[in-house]
Amino acid sequence: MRFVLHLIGAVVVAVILGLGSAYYGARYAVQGDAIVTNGPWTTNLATGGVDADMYTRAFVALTGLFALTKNETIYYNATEDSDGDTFDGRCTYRIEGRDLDARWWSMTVYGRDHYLIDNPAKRFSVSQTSIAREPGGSFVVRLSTVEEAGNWIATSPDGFQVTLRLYNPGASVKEKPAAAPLPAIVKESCS
Amino acid sequence: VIRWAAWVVFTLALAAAVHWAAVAYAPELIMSRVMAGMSKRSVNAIVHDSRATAASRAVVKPSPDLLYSHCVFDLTRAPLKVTTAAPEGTYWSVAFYADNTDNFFTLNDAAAGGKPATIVLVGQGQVLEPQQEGTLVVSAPTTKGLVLFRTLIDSDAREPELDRLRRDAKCEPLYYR
Repeated sequence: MRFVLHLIGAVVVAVILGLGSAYYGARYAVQGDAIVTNGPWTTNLATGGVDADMYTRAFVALTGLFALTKNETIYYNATEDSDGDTFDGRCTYRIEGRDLDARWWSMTVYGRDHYLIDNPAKRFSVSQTSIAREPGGSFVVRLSTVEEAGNWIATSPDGFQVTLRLYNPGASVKEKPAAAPLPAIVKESCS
Repeated sequence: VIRWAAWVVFTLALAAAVHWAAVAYAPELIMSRVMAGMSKRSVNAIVHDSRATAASRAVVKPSPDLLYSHCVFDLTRAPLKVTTAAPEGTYWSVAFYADNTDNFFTLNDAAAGGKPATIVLVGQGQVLEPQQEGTLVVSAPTTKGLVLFRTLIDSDAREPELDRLRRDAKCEPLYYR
């Protein structure tokens, strides 16, 4: 009887340890050399590729199924601001930048569950073709739960993430993804 | 002490096996679940999805700036013939995914010269008769998978036109007579 109890206990602990470490591995331990950080933005250059390792495949399946490879699209993701603080759904953020080196680009806000955030104005993203620019060509986008004038994307009080898509990225992004000029994300105020 | 050490080793070994199995099979499991949901509507045929909103829950991180069409493929009985639409003045692409999430082939509007393209997807061991000139032949690494068509909505005003134009795309089994 004691043996059976020990066996059940060992199996339960092994399943919890195995699944927990698998989830952690898929989320955080993907191909080290393929992970590129650029300010608050992070990209995984192995995404979608046939040479991706099993952790990258699992990561893609969990967080970005049907992503394109880096030659077609580079996806940068941000879960923190330029000071390294995790996004807080109670705060307003300002994204400042200029047009990105790509044939077309977009910036989309997702909830922590990786789906679009419901909002009455249906403002999920801004893009190269929809964004309003300052006279010099730069742009400012505000992220908050309350609708604002100008470029604005709705966030969630439960937290959020921002995905930058660069379709047919230019040479500066493809060759130096860690140094390519990307927008800064500044915390403005918190309620 | 030895008995306890044996239990610890057994538990860790089992945990390592569970870890490996979960990571190795998660992509196929997640892909098969998503494709099963999509293929309820059809297999080897194109489905034009509505523009993504907060209610879109079939696939994580949908882009609200694209019109997606998809085709779940199964090459068990025949190769698959894919014809793209070619809406002018905007980005479009057609991407092929194996059942382990690999994006093994992509063609976009620039590479296609802005014209509709025909792509024949061939399964492992399938022999193809000579195709019309200009047809691209692509070898699929897995029998099942997904073809995803993307059409960029470059302005909201153009969405109805792009939605109409993208419906020229086709996805059909290539049976021989």
